[in-house]
Amino acid sequence: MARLFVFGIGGTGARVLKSLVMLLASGLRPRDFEVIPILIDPHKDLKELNDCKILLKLYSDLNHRIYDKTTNVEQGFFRTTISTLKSLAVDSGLKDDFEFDERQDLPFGQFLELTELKDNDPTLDFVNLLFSIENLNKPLSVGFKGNPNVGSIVLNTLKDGAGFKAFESAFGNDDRIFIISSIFGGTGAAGFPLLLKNFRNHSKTIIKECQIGALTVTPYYKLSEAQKIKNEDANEDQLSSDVDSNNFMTKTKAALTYYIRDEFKNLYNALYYIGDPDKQNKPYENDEKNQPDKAHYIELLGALSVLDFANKDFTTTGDVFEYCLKKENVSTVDFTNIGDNTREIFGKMFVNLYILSTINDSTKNKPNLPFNKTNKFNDLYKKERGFFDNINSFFTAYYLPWLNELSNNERMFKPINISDKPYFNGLIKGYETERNILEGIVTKPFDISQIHLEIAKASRKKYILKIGEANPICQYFSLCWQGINEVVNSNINL
Amino acid sequence: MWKSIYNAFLQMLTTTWADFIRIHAGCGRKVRDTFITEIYSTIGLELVIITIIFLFLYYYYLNMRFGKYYHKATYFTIMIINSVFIGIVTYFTAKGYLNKMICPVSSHVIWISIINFLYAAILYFILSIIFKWFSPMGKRTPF
Repeated sequence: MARLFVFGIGGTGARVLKSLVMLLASGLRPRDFEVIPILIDPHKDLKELNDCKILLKLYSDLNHRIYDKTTNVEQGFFRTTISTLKSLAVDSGLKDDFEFDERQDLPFGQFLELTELKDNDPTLDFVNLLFSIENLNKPLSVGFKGNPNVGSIVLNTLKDGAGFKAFESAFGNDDRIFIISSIFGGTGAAGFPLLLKNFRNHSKTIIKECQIGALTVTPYYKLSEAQKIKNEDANEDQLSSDVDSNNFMTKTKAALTYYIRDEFKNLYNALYYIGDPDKQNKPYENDEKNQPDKAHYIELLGALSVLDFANKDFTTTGDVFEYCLKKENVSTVDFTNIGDNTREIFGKMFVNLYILSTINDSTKNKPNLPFNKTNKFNDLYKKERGFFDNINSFFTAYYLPWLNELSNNERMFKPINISDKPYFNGLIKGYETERNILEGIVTKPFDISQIHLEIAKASRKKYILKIGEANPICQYFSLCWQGINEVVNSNINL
Repeated sequence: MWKSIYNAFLQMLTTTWADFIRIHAGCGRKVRDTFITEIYSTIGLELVIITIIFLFLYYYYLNMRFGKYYHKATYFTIMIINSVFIGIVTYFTAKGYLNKMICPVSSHVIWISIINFLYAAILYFILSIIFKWFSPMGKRTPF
């Protein structure tokens, strides 16, 4: 199986990867590629980064458990394999499953070993031209704080690290690379061109000539103005944050002048641009340390670019793709105003995963359901309790909060009317159907019971029984996949 | 055979035909003959046909078109409706055959309705063991 190495650089990289995990969980597939996510972010204590790592590990474990011993299941929830770089290069010395770079706690000045220089060394003058005193004194453990000039120096050392060596040894024929970064920050803006150059100048031909795609996220949020705070040590005022979102667009324009050069275009096969500069009225909190930002639909649509890249073949370099809304400049995006192609690509699967999250518990808690008895699922739920707890944790700790964040951000992405109702007639915004009094007696309802019926019907199929012999967990998920798809397809024309 | 089953049960719950004929010399024999030659076969046929219809309704309509009727409660509810329906049909069928008789036949009509009510429940249960195998949601109902 060929591999797709997906590099998520900086906070945006981690966020887009999180959205990618949700899309893969819904059953969308990057062809037959095995996905190897790799995170690059010097801000090692960032909650978003660590959450992303836990989510990736959780997904990876779920995928391995569901599809273990079953190779002939082509579609399904959590179908795409996510593996860790560390597992592919066991002897590489890589410390973390997903992280490429190692923790740097030094201030940037010490990282450059400026203390080794004499006070009158002209190199110091040159360094002072390129970097401010604040740049040199800031510890690298909190990231590059929107300074790509710092990031490009630090990240250039990546090619000598254990991560890069592990990547080199694991990379094989037909493997591909995809790089996710933002253009308006520090880490992503610095890391993307550097990585690209390192790959294209690599000594191994399979790396040098492989298909490389990238997602460049342009500004899509604002940050609140930094506050003046008193620095007791220096006895002077200083700003609470070094990042000023008013500079995002200027930085973007500056970087784009480089990205559109032919010598840069020749380095990638496909470059996807996405952004949303004009629809955020309420800025994110300007807290560099924690960055408590909600999930955003731009990250979700950005994640689709990974799948688009994987599902196409590129023979030339310099292809550029841009995402945009259908026509209206709306504050709430749903399946009625998103692009037709985009809706067709992920609309149904997006709904399917939500339905799975709602039926999973109710299916387990009904031991008298015929397929629970016939397939001995009641025993399976007890025997594999840890696995089902993990599934539950995926939904309650990651998926549902993520969905909730998407529907409470600006712009809002709210295609699903989340509710506790046991029927799904009003589930999809813009695609609501009427309920009638003869539902469940004459006409078929659109609810959990119909999914259970379709699962019961599917459970008699020979290939499902065969899957059950190899792996009952896979049988359970294949049945859920069949049942939900059947009911959603017959009730909604997305 | 089913005539014997009906006949034995009815005599057990009412009076033996010998006693009935002895008490009602004028029409007792005719009542007995009507039961044996016409009523038992008709209500037996009604029992089978109606029960099969109800089983079809339960297993191949409700449990093939919908996913919420697999519970035992629904199964037993349909069983009771089937039995009551058969009991009522039996009552009117028997009464129709015996309406010109001058003997008092009410207790026989009521008891044969009750007997068919019980037989309906038994037949419903027995046939459901076969019917359930081909119904996706009813496959494990009642067990």
